[in-house]
Amino acid sequence: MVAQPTPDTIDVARIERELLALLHAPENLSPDGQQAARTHVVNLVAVATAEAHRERILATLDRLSDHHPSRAIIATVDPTRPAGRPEARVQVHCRPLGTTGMRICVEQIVLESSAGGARQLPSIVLGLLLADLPVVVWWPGEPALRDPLLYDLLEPAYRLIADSAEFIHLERSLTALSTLRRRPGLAIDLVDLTWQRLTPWRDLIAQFWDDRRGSTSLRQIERIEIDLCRPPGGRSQRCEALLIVGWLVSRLDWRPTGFTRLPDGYEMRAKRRGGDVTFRLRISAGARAGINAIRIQTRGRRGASVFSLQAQEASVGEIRVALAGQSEIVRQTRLESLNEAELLASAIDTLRGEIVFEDALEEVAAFLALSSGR
Amino acid sequence: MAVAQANPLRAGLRVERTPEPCVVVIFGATGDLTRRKLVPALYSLAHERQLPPNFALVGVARRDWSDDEFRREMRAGVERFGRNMHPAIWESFERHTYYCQSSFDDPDGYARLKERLASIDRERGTGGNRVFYLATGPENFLEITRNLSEGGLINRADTGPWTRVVIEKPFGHDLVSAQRLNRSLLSHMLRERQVFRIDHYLGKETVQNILALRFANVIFEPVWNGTYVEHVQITVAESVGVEGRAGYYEGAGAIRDMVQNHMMQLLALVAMEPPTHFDADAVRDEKIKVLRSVEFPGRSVGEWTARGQYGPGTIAGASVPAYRQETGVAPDSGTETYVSLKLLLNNWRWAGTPFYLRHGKRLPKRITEVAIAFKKVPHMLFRDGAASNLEQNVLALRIQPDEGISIRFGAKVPGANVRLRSVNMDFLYGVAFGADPADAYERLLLDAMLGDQTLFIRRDEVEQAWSIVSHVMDGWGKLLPISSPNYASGTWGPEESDDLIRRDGRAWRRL
Repeated sequence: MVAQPTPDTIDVARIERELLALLHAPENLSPDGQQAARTHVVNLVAVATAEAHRERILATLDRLSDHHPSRAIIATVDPTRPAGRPEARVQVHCRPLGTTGMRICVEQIVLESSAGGARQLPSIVLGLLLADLPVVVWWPGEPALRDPLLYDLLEPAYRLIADSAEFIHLERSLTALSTLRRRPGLAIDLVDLTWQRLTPWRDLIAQFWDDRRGSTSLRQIERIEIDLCRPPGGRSQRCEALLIVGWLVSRLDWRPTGFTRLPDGYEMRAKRRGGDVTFRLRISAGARAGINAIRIQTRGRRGASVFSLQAQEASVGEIRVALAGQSEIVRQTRLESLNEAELLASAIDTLRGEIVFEDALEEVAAFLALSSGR
Repeated sequence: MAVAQANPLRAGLRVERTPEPCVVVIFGATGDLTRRKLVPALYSLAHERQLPPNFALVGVARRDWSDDEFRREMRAGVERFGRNMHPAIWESFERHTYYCQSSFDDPDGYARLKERLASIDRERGTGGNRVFYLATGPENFLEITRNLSEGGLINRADTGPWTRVVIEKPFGHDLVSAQRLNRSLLSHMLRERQVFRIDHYLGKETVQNILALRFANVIFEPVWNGTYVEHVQITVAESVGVEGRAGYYEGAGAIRDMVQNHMMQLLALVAMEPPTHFDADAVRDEKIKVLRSVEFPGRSVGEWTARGQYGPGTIAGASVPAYRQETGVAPDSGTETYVSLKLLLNNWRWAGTPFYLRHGKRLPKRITEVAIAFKKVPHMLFRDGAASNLEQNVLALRIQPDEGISIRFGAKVPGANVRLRSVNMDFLYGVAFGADPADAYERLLLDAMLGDQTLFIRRDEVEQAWSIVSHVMDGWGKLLPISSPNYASGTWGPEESDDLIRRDGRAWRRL
């Protein structure tokens, strides 16, 4: 890694020249003197509103660069910084590519701004975007959904990546986020890293009904229990359970009908064709935050069947399928926890216009509206 | 093909569906293919959550092993040749892995297998669905299938539990034997939709990507024809020798081992018309049209083919022996280890455009590539030698290793004068996608369980490919044998092969 400070002013052409100079630096040439290749698949704009976020963003981008080489623009807003123009620093990261002898490089531009200078950031970012590449905005922490900075940065973007696990005001922010797709003039996809975190769970739940013989029982679900763990001093990550509920309700075309807060969680109810479904979200103490188990009960003509998933040791889960009148099937399966770089990679890879998450979020908002009596 | 009802919970997930409950039964379970490829691929599918909860694996072979011995051997195979070994997931996988000792001709063995499968169905809910994978020599295909059929282990009906049979190449050793094999398999025992003829080349991501490149981009297809393409070269070069397969290779040679299957498939994918859908029959209908359009460019095969056998030499600094010095090879063997051909396609798109194919063992490096060489511009603006360094445009699809695409085009050399030079623009999959592609067997085994035959070879494709190759072999039979060896290991093949393409005013690509 090579870093160079730039002078006090932001000159986009100068940043590009400095990046080029770094790419031509002797340490970035291949052993046979070949110039490194610049490689990008995306413009990634990350917003850091706290010092801790900035360090985390840089560490995550380092890990991301192998799989998703990008031009990363890290826009940092530091309220403690004295007023003045934003500053920029540039870095390139190069690595050898397999056995080819080539080196490939990715670029990082860190923009540092005071709170007052933040309004200049979107126009600087706009000048630094590589042409003809998609633009993704990643906002760690709780996105400032009322701050014009967010919307100005989103203007050239097609996707906003957030992480509901970091929302301090979870219910309020989820509800606000769910309205974003209907905001006039804003044509963006929403991706939540918590949603990406749930992919293994969703994958395994979906698998219960891949067997065409099981499709009937999908219409016979009557109860879903979700166990969440809260580690000592930590949070339970209720957002995971709420998103699983929202997902099932939206995909299966159910209608939210009730939401009750309980001392140890929630009870939620939905209407499906021919019956009702009850969700029980139970929070208890445990070592690992987030969903610990999901049990889905159906009742057909032959009796009750239970499909369950339980997190076990790291990256392993247990599937149990107890169909009415048949022996129970038990199997261990991979149930991995993805790190932030992997989550970010999968968020970038999500297909454009893929609205499954947004549909789920809308149902979560519908449940939350029931709870507040709106 | 089984039609699965859409699962609404699959929307937006990477895996579109997992197979229905089933048992995979591998014949030849103690062999190398099972240990190196098949079980590691099945385990990897389990690890990737692509197998249903109700899945079981049964190995069948002559060796007197117990379930536990089979599990131990397979675990060692996965640890050595597989990826993602996770003890807890392996233990869960192996709990549903069984072994059934039987010779392939023993009806009692098939009765025991039937009983075992019925008991697995009861315990594991596998529903009577079966994939029989014949990882055996081709001489066993018919016998095993006949015994399975007579033992009541194959359901040919469209209803009820399904049965699929996967067979490995070679599918026969010439046209007549391939036709006989197909006729026998399909007469009373199986239907074509139940036969999965595997060519692992088709399971490679980069081979499938030929279709993506051609049919998902508008910029290539308009020039993908004889109006713009001057010629095409398909190269499958190996640096290894026969690697302990002399017994098989002596009877097969390069043309049966590589050209009849992998290279004919590459030719078909590169030259085919766009299919109407990306499904098994639509894709294979277009591939067979290409194979049917193959035209031989001269009466004598000597005019448009070359063959060779490697002598001793040096590869990557190491001395290697001649083919005839390899263990199991006859000291006077005439088997070819190198072959090159020029073929024409007698159709609207490719009329007059030669396709040059070459494959050899003990070449300087391992590389598989398809190169589309374009015609020169109709009128060169730049005169007085300005363009004398300019080579023709080439689009090269590298299948392995360092999978990628490169385009060669002309650019102006900076300076006051107008001088042009060829430059290359490279795209490497490893850079853009990073992730390791799945092994070809993972994809193909999964497709067999899903009942998707798109990446498997249909009866008519096999027979048409044999008809081309048999014509070459018959022609060679009428010529004098080659004087072997005629190329040194570590070189790009015999002089005759260079002559073959040089006669057309062209040269093999330097790779």
